[in-house]
Amino acid sequence: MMTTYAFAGADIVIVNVNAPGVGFNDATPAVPIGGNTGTTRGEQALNVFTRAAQIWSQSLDSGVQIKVEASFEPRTCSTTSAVLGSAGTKSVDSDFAGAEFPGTWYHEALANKRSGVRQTPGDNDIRARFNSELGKPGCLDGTTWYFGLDDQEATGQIDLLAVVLHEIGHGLGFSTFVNKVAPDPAQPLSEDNPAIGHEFFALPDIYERYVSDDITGSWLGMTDGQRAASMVNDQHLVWVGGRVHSAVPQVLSGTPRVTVNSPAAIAGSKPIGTAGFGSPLSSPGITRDLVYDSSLGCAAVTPAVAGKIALIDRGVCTFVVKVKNAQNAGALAVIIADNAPGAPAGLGGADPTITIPSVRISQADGVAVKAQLLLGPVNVTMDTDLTHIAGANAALDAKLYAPTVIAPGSSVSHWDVSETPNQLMEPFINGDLVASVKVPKDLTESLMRDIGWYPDADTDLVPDDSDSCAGSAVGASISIVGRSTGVPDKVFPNGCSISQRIDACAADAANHGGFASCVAHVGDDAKKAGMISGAQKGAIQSVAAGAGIP
Amino acid sequence: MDRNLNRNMALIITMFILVFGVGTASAQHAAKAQADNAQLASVDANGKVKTPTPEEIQQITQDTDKNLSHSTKGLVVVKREDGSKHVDLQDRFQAVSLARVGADGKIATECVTSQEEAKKFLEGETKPASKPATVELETK
Repeated sequence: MMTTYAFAGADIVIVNVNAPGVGFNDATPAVPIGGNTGTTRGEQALNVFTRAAQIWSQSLDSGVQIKVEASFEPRTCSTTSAVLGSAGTKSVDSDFAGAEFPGTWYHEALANKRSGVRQTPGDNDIRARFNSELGKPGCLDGTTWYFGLDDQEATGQIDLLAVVLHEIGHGLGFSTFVNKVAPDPAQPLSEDNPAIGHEFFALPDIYERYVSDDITGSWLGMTDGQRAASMVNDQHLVWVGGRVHSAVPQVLSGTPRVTVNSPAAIAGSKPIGTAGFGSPLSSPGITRDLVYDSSLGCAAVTPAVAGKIALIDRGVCTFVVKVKNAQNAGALAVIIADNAPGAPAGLGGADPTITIPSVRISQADGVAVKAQLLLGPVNVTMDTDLTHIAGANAALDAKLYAPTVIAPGSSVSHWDVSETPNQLMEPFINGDLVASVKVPKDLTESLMRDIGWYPDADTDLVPDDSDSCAGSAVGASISIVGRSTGVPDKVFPNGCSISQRIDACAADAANHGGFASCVAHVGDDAKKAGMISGAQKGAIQSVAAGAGIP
Repeated sequence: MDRNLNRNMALIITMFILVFGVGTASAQHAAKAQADNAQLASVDANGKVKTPTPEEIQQITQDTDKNLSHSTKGLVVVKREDGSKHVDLQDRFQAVSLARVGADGKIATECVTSQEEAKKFLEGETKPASKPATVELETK
């Protein structure tokens, strides 16, 4: 049985290939949870897939429906381990009309999008198979799927939405086909027994085009051996696409820092420990004078800190109490001065009502700052250093996962785990993920843009940023005042269709002769561009001549 | 005896999670959340948390063998009249999400793209590159 579920106006469909009564068709009653209104186990699972498709469809435009062939089925599992699911593109294409780069493999859905036609009629684009048995006796006992759509999985639950979203991302283009498996040493190297680092059928893939080693360079110019070495060059494998590069400062966190701006005697950046509560430091951050509260801040904090940065000594009560009291007094941020020597550690504790940032500085720095406060104002900036971003190199290129400990067979097709905050396409499905692929939460949509998923709201194959006409409808016959010309409408390179230009002729014409002349000019342009034949041009002009315009 | 041992071990693990799981704060950069989904894992007769056995690992690698294959053997490059090329991957070159019980009793998950990577993860040898350690922070 095959059932297709689609959204009105969206272009990603989940093709349910489960048999009746199982998987997505499992009629076992279930209680709606976390925004998932399904009332059976199967319906809830399908709703999660549908939600994942919806999230992707909000980021990707394609005039060709993206078909995800999905099943919720038993996969191998035991009390201690399980296959959660798998996904990937069903096929790849190269050298099709619309390919940005010749001699390059594209994932099927992307090839369809760029060409505007289904490369393999009748076939689906992505295959996804997920484990329906999780949580049943003998299958990771005590751990279940979370079917909610709100990222609120509890202890012992795995967020199905995050996993499905992640795996479909691989199928849409977040993966390379460069070989990562050691060849059979008993056989000579060949396309059937390739070396690690060998390109798929000796051609690069679209993902690989943006993979680079910040020591040895782009993968495109490398030998198989060089790529093999690069894929385990931990912390040096990076993504060099322009969209991701631009998004890095908006998505990834800089290094938190505290800088004393004045007086000169103690100016400079100070070592800090950051807090596990309140808001993190950000950029451009907060620049204010310090106000010292010598009371330790355990009962209350002086109102003088209002609109300033509070300096409070460590001791007696918890960090959370001190920071909350400073927040209540109107402080914008808090610096805790340590009461013991050594490098400042982080501030532990939890209080969701705390919204201001706080850090700890060393005892020595605290003493120096307090001494200066006796002489005059001390001005401080608390922010993040965007030149040192977690998960990016000095050039602000996002790092890819290339752990040396897994050689051979490292990932490459994931973001590095040092990315902060956690990203959807890191190899670990982190519990703090939110279901988003967009800036400012996530870099994945930007990567998709880099590999060729350009925005194209009217799916006329002209990118939105160079499309002069919104809402171009291609394919239908050109009609003039309701009378069909029998000529299929097509789009000029500037994104305007023949119909849209004829409509403009009608709107601007002072008289019928002017209209007919304008349409003839449009027909000439279309014919010169190879969009229509001479006979089709004649058909258009004939209908225009008979139209009562103006 | 075994039952008592199991109960005691379970209590120890529960206490560990309560003390360190709840009391541990994540500081900016110093610690980042992982897929910990802390749970009480089953323990064996010796009170040791059960982790995947070689047989269980083999079963999983058999299940994922095709999905994680990077072999082009048998794949055909179809050349079309318009000059384009097409290859049906036959369910190979896929990404696979796996889960396992770690030595700490917690469930860990990882997405892998090769069989080698899958084995390392299931055998508990994967050590995430540069993954900041979770640090227990002072609260006062």
